[in-house]
Amino acid sequence: MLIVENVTKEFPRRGGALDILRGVSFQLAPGGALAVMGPSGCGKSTLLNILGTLEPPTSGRVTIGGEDPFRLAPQALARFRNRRIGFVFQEHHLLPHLTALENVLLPALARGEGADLSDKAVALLGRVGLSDRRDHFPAEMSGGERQRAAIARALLLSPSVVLADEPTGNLDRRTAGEIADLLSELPRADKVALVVVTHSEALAARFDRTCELIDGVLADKAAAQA
Amino acid sequence: MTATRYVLRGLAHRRSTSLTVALGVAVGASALIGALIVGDSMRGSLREHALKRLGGVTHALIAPRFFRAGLASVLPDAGVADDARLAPAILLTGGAEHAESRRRSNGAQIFGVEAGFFRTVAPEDVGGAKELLPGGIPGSSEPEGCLINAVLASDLGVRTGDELLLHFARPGDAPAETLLGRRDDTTAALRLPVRGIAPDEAGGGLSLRPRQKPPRNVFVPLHVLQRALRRDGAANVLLVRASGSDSDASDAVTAPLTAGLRSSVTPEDVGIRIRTDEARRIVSIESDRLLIDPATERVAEAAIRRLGASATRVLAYLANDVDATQASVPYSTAAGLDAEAFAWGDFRDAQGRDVGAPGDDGALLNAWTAEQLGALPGDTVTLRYFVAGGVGELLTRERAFRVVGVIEMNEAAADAGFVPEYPGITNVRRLTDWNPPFPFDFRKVRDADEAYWDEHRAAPKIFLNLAAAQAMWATEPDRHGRLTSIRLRVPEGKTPAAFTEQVRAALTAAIDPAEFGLLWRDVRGEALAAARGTTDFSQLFLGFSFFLIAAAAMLAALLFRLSVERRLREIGVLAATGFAPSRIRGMLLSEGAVLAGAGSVAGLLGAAGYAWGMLSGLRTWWSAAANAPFLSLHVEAATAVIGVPAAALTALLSMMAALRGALRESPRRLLSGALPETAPGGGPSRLVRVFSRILPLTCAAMFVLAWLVRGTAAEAGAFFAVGSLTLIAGLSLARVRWRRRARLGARAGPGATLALAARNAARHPGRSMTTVALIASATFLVVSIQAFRQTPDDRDELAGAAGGFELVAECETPLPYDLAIPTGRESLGLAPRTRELLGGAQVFPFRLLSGDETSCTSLYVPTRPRILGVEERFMQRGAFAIRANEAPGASSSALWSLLNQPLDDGAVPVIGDENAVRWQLHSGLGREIVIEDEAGRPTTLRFVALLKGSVLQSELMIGDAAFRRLFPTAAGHAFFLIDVPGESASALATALEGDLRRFSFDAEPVRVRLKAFLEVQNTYLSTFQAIGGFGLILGTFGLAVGTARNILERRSELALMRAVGYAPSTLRRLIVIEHLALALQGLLIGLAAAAAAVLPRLLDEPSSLRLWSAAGVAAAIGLVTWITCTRVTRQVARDEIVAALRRE
Repeated sequence: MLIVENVTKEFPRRGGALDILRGVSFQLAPGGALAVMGPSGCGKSTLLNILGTLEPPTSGRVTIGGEDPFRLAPQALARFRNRRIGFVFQEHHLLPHLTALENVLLPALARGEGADLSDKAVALLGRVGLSDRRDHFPAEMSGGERQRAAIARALLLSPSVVLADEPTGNLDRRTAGEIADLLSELPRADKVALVVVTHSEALAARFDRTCELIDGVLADKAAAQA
Repeated sequence: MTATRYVLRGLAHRRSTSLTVALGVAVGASALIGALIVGDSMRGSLREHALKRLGGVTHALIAPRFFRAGLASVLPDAGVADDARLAPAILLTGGAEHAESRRRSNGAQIFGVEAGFFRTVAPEDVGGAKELLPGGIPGSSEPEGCLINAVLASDLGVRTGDELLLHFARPGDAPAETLLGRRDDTTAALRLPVRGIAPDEAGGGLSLRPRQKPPRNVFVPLHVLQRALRRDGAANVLLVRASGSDSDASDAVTAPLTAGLRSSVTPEDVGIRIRTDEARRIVSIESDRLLIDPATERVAEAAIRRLGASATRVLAYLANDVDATQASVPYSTAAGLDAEAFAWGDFRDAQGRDVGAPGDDGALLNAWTAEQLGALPGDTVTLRYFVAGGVGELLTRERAFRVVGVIEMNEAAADAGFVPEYPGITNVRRLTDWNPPFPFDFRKVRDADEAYWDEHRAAPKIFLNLAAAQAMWATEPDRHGRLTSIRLRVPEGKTPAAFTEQVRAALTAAIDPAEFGLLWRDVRGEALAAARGTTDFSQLFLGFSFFLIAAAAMLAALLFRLSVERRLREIGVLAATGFAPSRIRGMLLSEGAVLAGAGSVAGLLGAAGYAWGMLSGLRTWWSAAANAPFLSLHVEAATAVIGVPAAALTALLSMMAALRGALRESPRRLLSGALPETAPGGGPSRLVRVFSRILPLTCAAMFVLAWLVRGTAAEAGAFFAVGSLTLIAGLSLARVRWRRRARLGARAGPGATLALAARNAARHPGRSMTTVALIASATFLVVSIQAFRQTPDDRDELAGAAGGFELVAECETPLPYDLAIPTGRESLGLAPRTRELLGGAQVFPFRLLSGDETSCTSLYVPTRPRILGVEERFMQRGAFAIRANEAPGASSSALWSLLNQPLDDGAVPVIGDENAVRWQLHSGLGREIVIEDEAGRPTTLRFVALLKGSVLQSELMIGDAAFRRLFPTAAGHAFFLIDVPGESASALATALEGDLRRFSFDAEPVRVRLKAFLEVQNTYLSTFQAIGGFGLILGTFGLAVGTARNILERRSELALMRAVGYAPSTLRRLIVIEHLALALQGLLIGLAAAAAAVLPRLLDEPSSLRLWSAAGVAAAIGLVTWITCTRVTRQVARDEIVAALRRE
């Protein structure tokens, strides 16, 4: 269970702090999905980074599986992130010198289990339709293929939360549709809590719940529109 | 997928970047390991060279006296190393001259050798079976001739068949500085045809003392040299070739040699004569030097104790005149006898009464003399006699005695045996046939004197108390001795012949050959010890290369950092997927380690190239520093074992430092690819800010300290401390200034461009700092070192390096007369013109013990340093800048006089040149070194004062009295400093060399010798500068890499500027100014550091620094940096901007 309670984020600047998030709260059970929308600069990516433990909130609390990751020491936090969270970025961030399979195995390498999970990685590549691409380098793959590989990478260690930041932002409509299909299957198929930040109405529409972040406040889209 | 695979795949993927980083590491490793290899090569080359010069010789007996050459054949019978080969020889140094062209080479080694000599000395690998020497067997039909080595042949332009003139010393029997020493017969000459060239590999390059300069060797048949020296059957050197003689096993060879020598040496080998007067039943122990030297006296006394014999001690001397009131007797021998002699009862008056011993003021006359003088007991007689004064000087002295008795001319009293045999006097028929080595007035000889001579020969006419005689005539008892004979009475019941044999046996048993200078030397071991070198060249070149190593490490770190910065997103992904920062750092450092390892291994090859280049430089361009054309590449396994990991570790540590801060950013920022330096608020660290505030003050304090320690050993440390602190302070200030952003708004045109350039330069302070630091450090080193280059000072000041002298001269055969005084010049036979030139000059002569040079021109450890004996007159001159601890403010002459002040613990006071003492002998003021005296006894020398930058770098100076005590047989002057007007110096040098050719006299301007010393220092500075120059190249390369990287990162920004109206030329100018500003900052900081470092010296001795030269070098660096920076930046800017604009 992902629980976000009253999370705020401020950035210091000349003339006073800049409030990016103001009291954001929500819960997401395994198998649930949340799409977060909002205009540029509203704090969507900041929220995602906090959920992904990449940066701490100014106040508030985030628990994943009942554990507050920001109380952990850096080493433990890295292990937590590795075990519990999967990332899918707008830019795939595949490492250019690794093959698709090796890129998928990258999280396992952090735990020294690269060899043990190669069967699972192969299976994941098959699941995202890249069986025939496993030994290809990113430069030899299309944008959609790279993003699918990135999704496979995010799933390798069976995280409890998957965070996707504009996962279709750089893709054409057809490819974006394929990726959206993949993502929409994840919560139920993998029992993960999925949070997707997107500008795409079409992608957001694939998920159970859509929220909008406006002036640092997160509200259900329906409520926001009301 | 494993971490190793990940690292290796990443390296392969970024192979060009990896290769560049590895190359940077390789450059540093090349310098580091190369410096170690230079050390290996120096040691290896010196060792190889020294052993090559020794050929097969492992041990040698090099005596200060002649001994029986036949010892060589006796020693094997005495159980000396069965497989050892021995060769007797005579070794002299002298001058060799081409008889036709008159080309001359002083300092030639003249070997008198027997057939088979080359079998002993030739290196093993050529079999040593060459029989090279012509005329080697006395009486053979083969004509006499000599062999010379190739170097001498080349020097003189001699070919086989040409005639060679050899000049060398011919030591007489009596020491030259005693009354009967033959001062006019101290040299000999030989004219011999050259029969061939003795190749080095056959032993032609033999030298028993390790030295860089190749020896000039002449090989003459032993009997030919013996004849020329009038020393039949004699040798002064025994060479041994012992198989399997490693230095560890040295004792195994030396011990039996020493024991064998001790059991084989006879009294005659050490100059002891035994004379038997059967009629008087007297056995006399005498010396072939006339005076019994202290060692012989000790041996004789030991023998007497062993025999329990009755003995008397005699000092016989010659009185020029014995005057009484009415008459005078010329050229009479007088004998001082101990009480025992008078107790024997041989001295009786006319009435047969025992006259007893005279007191200190009393004299016994024999009846003949009393009659000639008309003297009776109670009368006074006066003895007039010569005593030896300075070198070659005879002083007339006289002393009155009261006649206490007249003794009958009985058999015991009228005994010519009181006087040792002396060729030219005791063996001539008539008194007027005397050929004495002192002024002799034949006109004074009367018929009565001839009649006495005819009947009694040299029988003493006057007998004195021994102590009184010694007080008059034994002027240097510790050096030459105080007796002329020790007479033993043959005990009753023994035949004189049998007793003589007993005496001989007792003497033989008492002889310690070492006391007579007959010492075995492990010449191979000594050569190996000397080959360790005066300087640890590994350390020296590590020091020289330190900056280059640091620059390469900084560059490698910069390249590594740049490669990491290009991969920030990758690192962000790793962080986002759960890699802990330490794990990421570990993986990056693993990559760094692989690159450091690979670069260091590759650096081995570069190191060999670096060392080869350095050695080539030392053989050619920098030959003045090493003076060793034989240097070759040697690599010890330990160097690679130590060097590669050390280089890799250095690079890795630099990379770790470079990574510091690179991974501090959050994964989010890393994923965005934002560089840490560009992060908002990214200013200098607190440490840098603190540095920028406190360092200027620290610099000032250090500057004051540097000024206080100028002229001391701490000066060099203070120089680097001030320079380094100023560098760090300058860099910190620059770093702080970059934070203050230049305001753009108020400016326009060039001002705006400059401000923009300044802003851009501050965007990556770490990168910019590396570039500035590299250029600043290189500038500091190259410029400040240039300021310390020296030229011989042109001043004639007494306190200058030349000491106010124009000429320095040496001769192979010491001059037996004093060149400083007119009578000495006359006795030396100088031409009137030479004496006229000397009239306007002051000559300061010194005794010289030849040995190892202590100057910086020598690479070998000086185990037996050259030593000068300094006379009082020179001390009074107070020449050269001299300092001592205990006497602040004392005059130079007072400090020189410290040589005359005995030290409480018996150490001998010594003065040396500060540079030589510090760097060659690794000693200092108040510290001690131990040398061996002539008898091989260890003697402690303590430095009581040091000369500052003098021409006397090659030798150590002790007082003349101490010199004579330690080296009693070194007679005459062989080293000279001459103060002569500059305009006549050359003419005087030529005249002296011509007139004193037989002594192999060689004079040269002091400035020439000084220049040679300064060349060494300057050449090392050049080496340092050259290596610093490489560092500057690396700095410029770093600048170019930084420029390229900067432009690459800013291509979209540049495209934007182009889009908003900036002309491409403006953009290029912007980039050029931006990087040129960095280079100029480095240049200015380096110049400031150089100025601060040399300022204490400048304030103290303005003329000691070459400021214009340093300014020229600074200008050259500035120009080169400007051109390089401009061209590189323009080129990169042109290519990158065009490409970037196309892409964007």
